[in-house]
Amino acid sequence: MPFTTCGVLLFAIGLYGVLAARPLLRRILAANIMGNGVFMVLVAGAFRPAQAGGAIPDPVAHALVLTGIVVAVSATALGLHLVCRLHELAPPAEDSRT
Amino acid sequence: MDLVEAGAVRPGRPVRLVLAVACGAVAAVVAWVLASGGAGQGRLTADVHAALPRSGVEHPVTAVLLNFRAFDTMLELAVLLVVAIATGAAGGIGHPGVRRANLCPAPSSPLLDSLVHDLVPFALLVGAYLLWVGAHAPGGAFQAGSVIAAAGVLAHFSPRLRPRVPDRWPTRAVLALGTAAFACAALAALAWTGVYLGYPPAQAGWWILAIESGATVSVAAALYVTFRAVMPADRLGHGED
Amino acid sequence: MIPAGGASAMLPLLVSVPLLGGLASFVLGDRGRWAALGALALNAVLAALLLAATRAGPLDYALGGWSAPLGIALGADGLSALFVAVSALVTLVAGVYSLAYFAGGSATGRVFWPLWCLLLAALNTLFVTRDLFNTYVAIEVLGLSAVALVTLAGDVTAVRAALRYLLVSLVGSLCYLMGVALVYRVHGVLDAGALARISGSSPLECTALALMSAGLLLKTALFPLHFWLPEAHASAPAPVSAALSALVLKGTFYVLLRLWFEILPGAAGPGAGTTLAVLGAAAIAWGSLMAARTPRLKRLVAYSTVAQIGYLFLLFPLLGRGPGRAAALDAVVYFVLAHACAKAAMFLAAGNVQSVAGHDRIDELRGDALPGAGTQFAFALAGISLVGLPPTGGFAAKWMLLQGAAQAGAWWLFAVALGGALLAAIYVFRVLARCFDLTSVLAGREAPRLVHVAACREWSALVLALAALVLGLVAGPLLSGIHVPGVPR
Repeated sequence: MPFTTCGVLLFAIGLYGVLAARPLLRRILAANIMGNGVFMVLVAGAFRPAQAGGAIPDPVAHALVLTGIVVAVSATALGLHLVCRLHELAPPAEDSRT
Repeated sequence: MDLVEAGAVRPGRPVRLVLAVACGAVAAVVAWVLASGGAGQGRLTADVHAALPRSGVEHPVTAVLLNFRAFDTMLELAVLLVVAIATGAAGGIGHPGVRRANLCPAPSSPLLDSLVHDLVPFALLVGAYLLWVGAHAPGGAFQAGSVIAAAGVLAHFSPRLRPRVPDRWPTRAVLALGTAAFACAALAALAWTGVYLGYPPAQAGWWILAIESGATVSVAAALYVTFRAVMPADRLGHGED
Repeated sequence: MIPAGGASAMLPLLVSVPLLGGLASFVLGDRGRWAALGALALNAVLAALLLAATRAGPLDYALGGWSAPLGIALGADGLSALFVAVSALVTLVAGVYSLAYFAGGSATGRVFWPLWCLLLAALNTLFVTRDLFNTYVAIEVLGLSAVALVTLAGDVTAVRAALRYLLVSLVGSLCYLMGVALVYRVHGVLDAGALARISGSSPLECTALALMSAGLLLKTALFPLHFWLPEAHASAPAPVSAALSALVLKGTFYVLLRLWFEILPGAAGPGAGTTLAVLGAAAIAWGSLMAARTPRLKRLVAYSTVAQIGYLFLLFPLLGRGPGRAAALDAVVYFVLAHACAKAAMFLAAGNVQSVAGHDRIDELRGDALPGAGTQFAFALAGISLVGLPPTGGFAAKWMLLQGAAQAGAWWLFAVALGGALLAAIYVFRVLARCFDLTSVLAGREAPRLVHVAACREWSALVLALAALVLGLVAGPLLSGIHVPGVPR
């Protein structure tokens, strides 16, 4: 249960970050955090304490999270590439932080 | 109105407060329903373990990823391929005349060189082991591919050992190999057993290993290519091959 | 679900063919566009076969022989078949357009074709999959390839718009995934069929549906979540804009339809449908207003998309319960089909205009620097379909909308539909007026010199516009095969 709550909190914090942050890199990172929150909720739900035959974790949830991680990494990579290209095409005038 | 720069103007304080309250409310609602909603039946765990002997591998997560829900994995490799296409391969989509700003010079210290020289083969070995062990312990194509990509990233920083990525068809073939292995295996299974993605039960383990090998190579290549696409060209003029 | 040979095997092939086409076109490099076109043509054939096969009833296929919920099941009924068919048509015709749009050996072209095929593969997956998580992965493939395609224009506006689109897309799909996680928590299965049988209306399911809808509405660009759309669709290359407006938005809309009315029907509260309808009406008003005011042609067409998406959501309250359900479903489907063809034609025509005139500022378009009659006719025909004049597909869709509204007693929809048609006429005729602008000729300058773009570019825009027209004539036979569980015919 604490892991689930933590996951939900991460989701909300990431959501706020994407919506309200200004630097692009921070927004991409916030989207990553959102994703991690969802994955945490999935994995936390995979642990089934002491059903008939002991605690066997749910392999389907683990597989879902593995898939999700790869997708998140790909999306982050695309986002970072676009930020780099944006800086190439339009170098920021007064603000040198990304 | 035309060009509102994404991320240029930070929302004002009242807007941020509203957003924070809204996100907090979402968190509270979701956490509350999760706490009170109760856990489901979890029948899929039993199903997976019941079908495990017929899947060709012994580790349930690998069985789910590569056999029961192989379609998901195929599409996931397609995601990685989309990003590899968009960021680096086939000449990329950047203007050829624009040089990336040198955000950091390429370091070339003998310490780094020797570290890379020692670590990269070790990392490759670990990657190969992870690929093999995925059948009966946590491991598999993505884990192995990530480790090998990490080896590539490490090698990138040593000018002597930097991998070459020529813009020719072998590079593209390597990137496409994972998805192609899956798609071809699926169609081959359709021809062999009459079921799309239905590996013949007796040789399922070997089919899965073959697909995973292709996927490992692809994942490693795609991750390295996307990493390279955001790295600056170093000032010695090596730049992009 | 025994995987039968023959008809059901088309379902995984619909995903494999564009996927392999994309891979082949990627590896082959410059000659890859022919591999891609071959895959698009083959996909169109498969789509036609699917349309015929689903007349008899829904198709099912269990991938790998593992029956759901352990494995992933594919399924198609009349609704999916129609969506697959319109995707096949638009991607094929816009693909032919792209042959001339992207120069033969350009780097942009080499990146365009694999991404185009993968976009189609993702769309087909969305329409035939019956698994919630598989839908998520397909949505991600769709979103990322769409973002990558937007950046092909190369200029800073496109990259900026693509970045915003990427962030929006990520937020949307992660909200959807959180909803899936909640559903999986409580029910333990991800299969649409199984969920349809066991889902109820508990708070957790309502929250899950709310989250999933929020994410999908963001990706379908319903007002007020449409803010990312005008820039993204306007700064992309013309064929990409066509695919984005016509198909990509409809992919996530399809998922919304299935979620609301088949998979989690009990979780949608009574006021939720009405809220969506009100937002739809606001979208029509706002989109049309912005389209009438914007100075750029492609942005006008993009705002028109915002307005037309509103029509899709007007019907949500009618689709759930009560009379008029069948007519409302017919209307929704026909709006999707007609809008896809008309909007794609409009974007292709706008691309021709931009190529010839060098810019797309509407007020500076002069009658003697426009592309040939084919493009202008295509634009006019597409515009007429958007306004909803007979005998186009747009008119058929609006007619069915009014039928459903009359049966359900929702008389306010009449006012909205009529008002929307008037507003659409404003911005459509605003552009058409430039085509008939002969002031420069009458002022004594030389006769209008109609500059021609490549023939296939004109013809492809024309074909799609004619498709929008033909749709109006074949509404009856086409719709007799749609079947969504829970909505009786």
